Amino acid sequence: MEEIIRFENVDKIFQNRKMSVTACKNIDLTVNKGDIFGVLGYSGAGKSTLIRMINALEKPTAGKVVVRGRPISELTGRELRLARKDIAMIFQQFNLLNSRTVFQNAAMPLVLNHVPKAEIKRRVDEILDFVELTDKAEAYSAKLSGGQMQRVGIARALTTNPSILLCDEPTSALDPKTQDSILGLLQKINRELAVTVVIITHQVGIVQKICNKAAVMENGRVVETGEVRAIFAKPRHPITKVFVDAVIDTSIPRLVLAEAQAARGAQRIVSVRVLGGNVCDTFVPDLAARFPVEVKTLSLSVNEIQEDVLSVFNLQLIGPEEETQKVLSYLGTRYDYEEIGADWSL
Amino acid sequence: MIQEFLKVPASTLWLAASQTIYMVCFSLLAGTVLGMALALVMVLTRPYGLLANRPIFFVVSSAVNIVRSVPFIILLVAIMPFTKFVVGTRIGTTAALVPLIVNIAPYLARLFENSILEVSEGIIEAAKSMGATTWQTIWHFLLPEARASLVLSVTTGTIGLLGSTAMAGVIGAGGVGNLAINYGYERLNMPLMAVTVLILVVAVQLIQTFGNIAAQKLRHLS
Repeated sequence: MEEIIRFENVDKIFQNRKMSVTACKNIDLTVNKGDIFGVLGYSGAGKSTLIRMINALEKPTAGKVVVRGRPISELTGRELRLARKDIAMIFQQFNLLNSRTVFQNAAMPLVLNHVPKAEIKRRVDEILDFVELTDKAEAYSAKLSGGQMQRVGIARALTTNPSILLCDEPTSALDPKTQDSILGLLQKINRELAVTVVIITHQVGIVQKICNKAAVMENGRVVETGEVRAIFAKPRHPITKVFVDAVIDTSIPRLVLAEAQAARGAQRIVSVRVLGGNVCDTFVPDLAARFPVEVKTLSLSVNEIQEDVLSVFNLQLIGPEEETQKVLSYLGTRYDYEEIGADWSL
Repeated sequence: MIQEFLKVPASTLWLAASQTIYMVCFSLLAGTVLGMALALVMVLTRPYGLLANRPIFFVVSSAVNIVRSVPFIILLVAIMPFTKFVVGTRIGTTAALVPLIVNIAPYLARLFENSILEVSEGIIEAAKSMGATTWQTIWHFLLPEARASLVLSVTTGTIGLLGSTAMAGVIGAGGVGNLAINYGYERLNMPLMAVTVLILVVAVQLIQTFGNIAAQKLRHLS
């Protein structure tokens, strides 16, 4: 995998006379060509600052940011401006020019590059067709819906054929249905135009739907990073768990749990995350066949992550202590599991 | 008939009107150019601006404040040597242009500065992310986005100028305001006084209405 963006031990501290705020601390991160890379975090986690260091809207206080082999954090003047033309950006609030039509907005980067008029017309028509806004070319932004405005933002970002697209909370101001269409568009851009996409968001659903890699941020630090499938299959950091739990249902209905815990005899209740293919029908019978233990399914959720299936089984294992222990060690070597209600005997 | 009612020759009225129009138009034009230049300098050099530069910002901003704090009637006479240097005379309609411009430019500069600062940070960020130069950011982003507000600023400035020209009579500049003072007030010519005031009221209404319509059109909201 060819690397396209690299953070090397980056710190960013905002300082004024009264106080200093550490927005990013010890950031080491690599984005590969062709990735849709999600940066997940609550507001104030430092993700806005992080994405703005990729196009040097913010400069690191320490460390450096390398984009396509060049240290963009150290470029200035004309060199920096030229480098930025290869890194497009879209925004939560779209940041369109209200005094300009859709066509004129989309044409802006080309106008800045002194591209001839005929060429601008050809390119903008093409890109408006790509984002399905041809019929709105002469409209002003007051007449557009949020989703259409973001499409204009995307069209504007793509006119110059950039290799990287930075997305600052691209769907946070949109309703759920519109969010999906924008996410679909970002995916299409990634696949058909071979653009590397970096998305910062507090919406874990976006990461689940379209990102192949992700980093989770908290208090200016990246606390977890890797393949999205791996992160969802086995979230390590508490904050990651909170995010993942928001979209992957791992809960056991309270009544069901209470009933299970009330059962007599030696038993354990475990939550097992199984990634890879649909195992709804086979997982439990397979487990029961391997061990002399009764396996009951308390609840089950099946989720799609990156064109793969993540199943969460909440199981009740009934049987002698030494046998259930064997089941747990078997599970431990293959899957991520968590024991629930271990204090049932108290 | 008008002549009998107002007790001044029609030619005096026309002269006064043309003097006022001349003073307002010319000083508005020059004041807008100068005011815009000052406004851009302040917007760019202010703290966190695109070309943040504390000393330049401090000097320009202070100069604007100082000129704005001098009452026009005093400015009019205080800068007479400068007026003489620029236009070769201290009195008359053309001589009045110099203090009028010196008065209106900093005023417009502040109004323009506010108009441009209203443009959201996000627009500037978008411009930066596209690799726009400072000049491109001003020309393609800041000014187009601020233009409706700028038109309203010019409107406010024009009305202010109209008021200032009345005082320019002190240095023999003539104009409608001067007519009202010399003939209306000092000769106790109430009809003339009333008519000139009425004309000024109507002029202000027209200017403001025109400005509002133009700004509305530029906003592209409907």
